Amino acid sequence: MRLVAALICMWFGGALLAPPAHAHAVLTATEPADRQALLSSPAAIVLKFNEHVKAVYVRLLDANGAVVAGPSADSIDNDVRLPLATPLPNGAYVVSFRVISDDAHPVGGAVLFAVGPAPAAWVAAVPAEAGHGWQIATATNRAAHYIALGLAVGASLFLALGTEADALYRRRLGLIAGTSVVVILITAGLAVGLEGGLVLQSPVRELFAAAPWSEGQETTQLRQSLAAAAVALLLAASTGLSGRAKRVLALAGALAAPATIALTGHVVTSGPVWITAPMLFAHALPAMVWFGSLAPLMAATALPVQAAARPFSVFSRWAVAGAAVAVVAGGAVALAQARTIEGLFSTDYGHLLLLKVALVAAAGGLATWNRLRLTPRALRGEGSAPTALSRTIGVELLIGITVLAVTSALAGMVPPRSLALGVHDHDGADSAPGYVVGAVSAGKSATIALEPARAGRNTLTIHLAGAGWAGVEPRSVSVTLGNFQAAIEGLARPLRKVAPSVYQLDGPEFAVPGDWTVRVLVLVTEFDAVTYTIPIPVAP
Amino acid sequence: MSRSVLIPAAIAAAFGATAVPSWAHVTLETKEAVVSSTYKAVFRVPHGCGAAATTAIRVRFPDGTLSPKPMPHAGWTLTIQEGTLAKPITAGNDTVTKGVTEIAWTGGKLADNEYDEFVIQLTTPAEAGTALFPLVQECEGGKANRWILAPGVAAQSGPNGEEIDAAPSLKLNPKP
Repeated sequence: MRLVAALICMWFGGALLAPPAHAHAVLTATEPADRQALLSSPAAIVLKFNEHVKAVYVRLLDANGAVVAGPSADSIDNDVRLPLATPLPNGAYVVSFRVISDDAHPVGGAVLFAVGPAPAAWVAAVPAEAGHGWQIATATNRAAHYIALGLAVGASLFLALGTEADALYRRRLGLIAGTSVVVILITAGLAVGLEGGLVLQSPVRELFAAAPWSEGQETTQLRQSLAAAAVALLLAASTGLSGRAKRVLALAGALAAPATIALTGHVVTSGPVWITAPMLFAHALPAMVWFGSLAPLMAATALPVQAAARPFSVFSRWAVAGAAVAVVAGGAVALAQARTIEGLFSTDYGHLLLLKVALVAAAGGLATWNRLRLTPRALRGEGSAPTALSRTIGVELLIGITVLAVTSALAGMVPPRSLALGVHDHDGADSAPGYVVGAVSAGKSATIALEPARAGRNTLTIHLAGAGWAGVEPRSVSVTLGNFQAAIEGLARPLRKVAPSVYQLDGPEFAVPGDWTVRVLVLVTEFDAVTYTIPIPVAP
Repeated sequence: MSRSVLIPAAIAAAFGATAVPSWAHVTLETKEAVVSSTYKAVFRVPHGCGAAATTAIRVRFPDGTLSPKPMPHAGWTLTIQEGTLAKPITAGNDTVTKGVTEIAWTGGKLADNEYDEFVIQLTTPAEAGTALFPLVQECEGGKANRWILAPGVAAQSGPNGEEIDAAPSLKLNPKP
């Protein structure tokens, strides 16, 4: 009953702590509009968003890629403004921008426009992003953070609940808790700078320069890091106390640790925060306690049977219900992110999510085996059972660490639900470096992206967007690829429809580097086609 | 020029000479006409889709075309599809919104190594310029060459190696 009350408190607590902005910032309009041809130069470039954003940079590039204006721009409420001091000469231009929303999520993109007559075809390269470095560094740091949080929670809970256990066991748990607290503090601090670097997309080696850190302080990551540090200190304090105070502090820390995760990230922003934050909490709390319990349980297998009985019985009492809550809440969160079953199979996010589910299922299988077979045998005092139990718990622990690593990678990716909005997130969190061009033919525009635009396996994505395509459902989209230097021509491939007006080719066709020509054929009716011819450089 | 460039270039040249099965398109026999005049459109079909035999020819008309009448073809089923025109035809107070939208000869078999002509008599549009007759050539095995692109647009290959290329075009000259 007390637990229910505590959970209800956390529900409201989670809702109060959660950030005020509930969604990714979405670009709603621009002046000039994308692919608009203006009679004369505009006085300013204006990007309009659905919520308040802060400009990181806005660059105006001419057709040769030279910076004409920017990168500093003004943020006024939901608008970002780049004033132009001198009128632009006739020609095609690209506005490349990166802004940061109140939920700490960087959003980037590009807009094409022309001054003077509209070009027959828009071909403008959008500068590629700095790379995966920040994503990898952030995901690694986050994984270490999650793992340390889980270990600290488990160790301090077992220390608080198992007061009668022997001294060596307590020393071991104390060591786990202490080390984890230190790791939590370090990773929480690093996260601020890493988040700033992710936003700025500066080279990764500049992590210890001032810029990423001052940028990071502007994001919600700062709040999350401070909260995590507070939780770590709470847990550390609990290990030093005794009796009732120890139990209260450990329990409070264990409840607060998963709540800190709900302070930032895309899961929280996917819906009404009073639903998503408690849902995430309901998933993270039992998952974290479960994971955290593995190390103390493993240590307990070395104890004499009578002493080991208590940790195991406490864990067993809560394990089944906890696992059920974690799986159900996790399933609900996952469903909200993937949106469609198709999204699970057609996106990287979905693939990772499936991997996580498979790993959790494997861990669940092991846990069931432990509970039904090994634990009773060990508690009966059968000689070989504790060793076997310790080994399977060790495997479970390794799987748990992998699950947390996958989870932290998921946290850095843009889920299918955001892609379904049709928002082009060229942001550091999800886009690979690649090549993106816009093209217009017969009044219909298309965005063609090749990722990673390096020799080997590539994904070619064609997005048919804009007014010209309203109410038009193409019969098929195919491409003919050619690379003159490599003597490749007429390589014809059909494209797969992956979402409304988004078509994709995923394969090894761009096997050699060089200048490729991609000819896109959109068959609108049997007798009408729209074609685009796009040169795309493929790096070695 | 280095060797690494020369060899692929030579291969490319060889491919260019041999890989493309035929340069011949489906074209009109008479490529010029006068606006608003009676014109006999003769569509010349020089080959199939790759090696597959042609089984159907379907034609659409440039906006402003009046009363197209196809010549029946022994062994082929003729279909004249009528409906609302993509663009109404107006001459003074006279507006035509309905008419023939597509003519098709189906159910025949024209082997790749045979030649045939399909004929439609029509009244040409009133506007001078280039008039296009988008044409779909259906073949055995579900293939279809599409002669539908505007002049100057680069040819494409369909997913099954079909040709997607220029539509038969007619130059319409003003009245002398």
